[in-house]
Amino acid sequence: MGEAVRVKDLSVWYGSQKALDNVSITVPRGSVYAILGPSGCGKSTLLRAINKLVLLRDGVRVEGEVRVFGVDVYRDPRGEEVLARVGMVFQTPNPFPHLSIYDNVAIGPRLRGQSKGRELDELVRWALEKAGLWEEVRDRLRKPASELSGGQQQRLCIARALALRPGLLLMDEPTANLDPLNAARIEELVKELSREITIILVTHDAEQAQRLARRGALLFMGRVVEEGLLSGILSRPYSKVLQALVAKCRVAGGDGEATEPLLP
Amino acid sequence: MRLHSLKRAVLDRVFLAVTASATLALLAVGAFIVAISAVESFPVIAALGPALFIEPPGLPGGEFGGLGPVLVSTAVIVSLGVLVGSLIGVPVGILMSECRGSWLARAADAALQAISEIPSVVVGLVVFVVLVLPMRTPSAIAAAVSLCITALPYIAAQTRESLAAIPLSYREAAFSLGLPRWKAVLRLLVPMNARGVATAVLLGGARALGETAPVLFTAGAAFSAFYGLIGPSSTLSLLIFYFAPSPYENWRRLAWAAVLLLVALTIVLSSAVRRLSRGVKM
Repeated sequence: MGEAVRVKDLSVWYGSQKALDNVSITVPRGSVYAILGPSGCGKSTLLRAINKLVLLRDGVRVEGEVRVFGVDVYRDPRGEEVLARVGMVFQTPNPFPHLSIYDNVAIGPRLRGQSKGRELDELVRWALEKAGLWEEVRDRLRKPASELSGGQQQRLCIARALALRPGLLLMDEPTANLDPLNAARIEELVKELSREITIILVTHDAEQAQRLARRGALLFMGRVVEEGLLSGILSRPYSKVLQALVAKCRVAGGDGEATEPLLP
Repeated sequence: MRLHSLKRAVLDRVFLAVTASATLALLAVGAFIVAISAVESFPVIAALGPALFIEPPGLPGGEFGGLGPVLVSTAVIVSLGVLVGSLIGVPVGILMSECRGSWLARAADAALQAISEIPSVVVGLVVFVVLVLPMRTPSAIAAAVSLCITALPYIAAQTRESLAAIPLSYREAAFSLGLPRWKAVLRLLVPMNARGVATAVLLGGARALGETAPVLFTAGAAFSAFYGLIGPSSTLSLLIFYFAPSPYENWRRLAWAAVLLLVALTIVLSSAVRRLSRGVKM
């Protein structure tokens, strides 16, 4: 099987603030891998460090190694090629507001020059079907994406990512802003997609993590506290685990290195 | 205690009175400018009708004539200046926003700052030395170059600001498609921000339209006909500059008509800018 992603000794600074501290994780191929942790613990930063989106922020510094499908994305020139096969879905649905439903899905393959015409139509249809949105939008593909509801917009964003034919899909709390019904649909989708694609799922919902993933990591204040089978990490209730971490941190005087705020 | 609250109430009133009267004064100035231009120019506009937009100005002391050739040359000079200004200013603005912190972006920022701070009469003089003297004639081209330089900082700065205002979440979405950076910027972020770029161009247009100093030595003062790109030329603001203080009644009247046209055009352009920039929804 091999690994999809191997992160080794990764540290990320925003200015002088250390957001990730020597993080190492290994994500096996063909599975869902959950990254758990309270708000502000560095989950999103870790996800964005994998596809280098973290570099969009001002004053960011990255140290350590991130290998995606065996390629060091920060140093190897083949990194760009590999990252072209990494899709991402965000916490807030963010379809491009100036594009139609069709173009939102087609834009990636089109701008990469991968497909056009009939072939592109097929690809868009395939991606929308995979994302479970085709039936709802097939008659209004040329309408602006902003006309869709929040849940539909999020599925559109999933279709946009799938149109890249990704080997790896990064999902940053993809259900956090959705109602339970839409959240359940997205979860179903994640389960189905995970048969073909490696998925890294950031979530602060331990039950969701257990429903979807077998393995994962627990982050706290920029560090990996535990990594491995979720059944092990979550052998105690999640809230108890977090409480214990916070208490331990208070006793230690919060050693001052990871300066993110503790819990919301 | 009572004294204290009384003092506070009085201070409150004084503060309100001062700020409100300053605001009223400002409104009065604005209304006064528009009203005076309207009152002074309305009779001549009413008397001339469409001829105002077609005829050349009359001879000194003679008939009114019109502003036809001046309008043509103004349109040519301003459009040419803004076109070239946008061809340079928009890419510069993109670079300053997307390569923030690079030495090139910082240098561009400093250069634009300098250009926008230099008095515009100096820009006119420099173009006079560089273009008008070698060509041995003032020209529409020279005037367009001067206006282009004047408008450039506004176009570039507005482009940069509007791009920088794109929310991070859209920026992340664009960069998550695995595209080369230039493609993500030029094919996704810039089209997403089309209104911002249009705003920048219109802002440059409003700026160029109103400027007089840069065209003083560069356009010439050819009000009675349009002599092509390399012939002497004129603009509305230049006509006002020459005609308003002249001893001839008909020229002074024409100057007022030009004032009203200029005010109206500027208001139209700037309200278009406001409407566009407000309509950018993300």
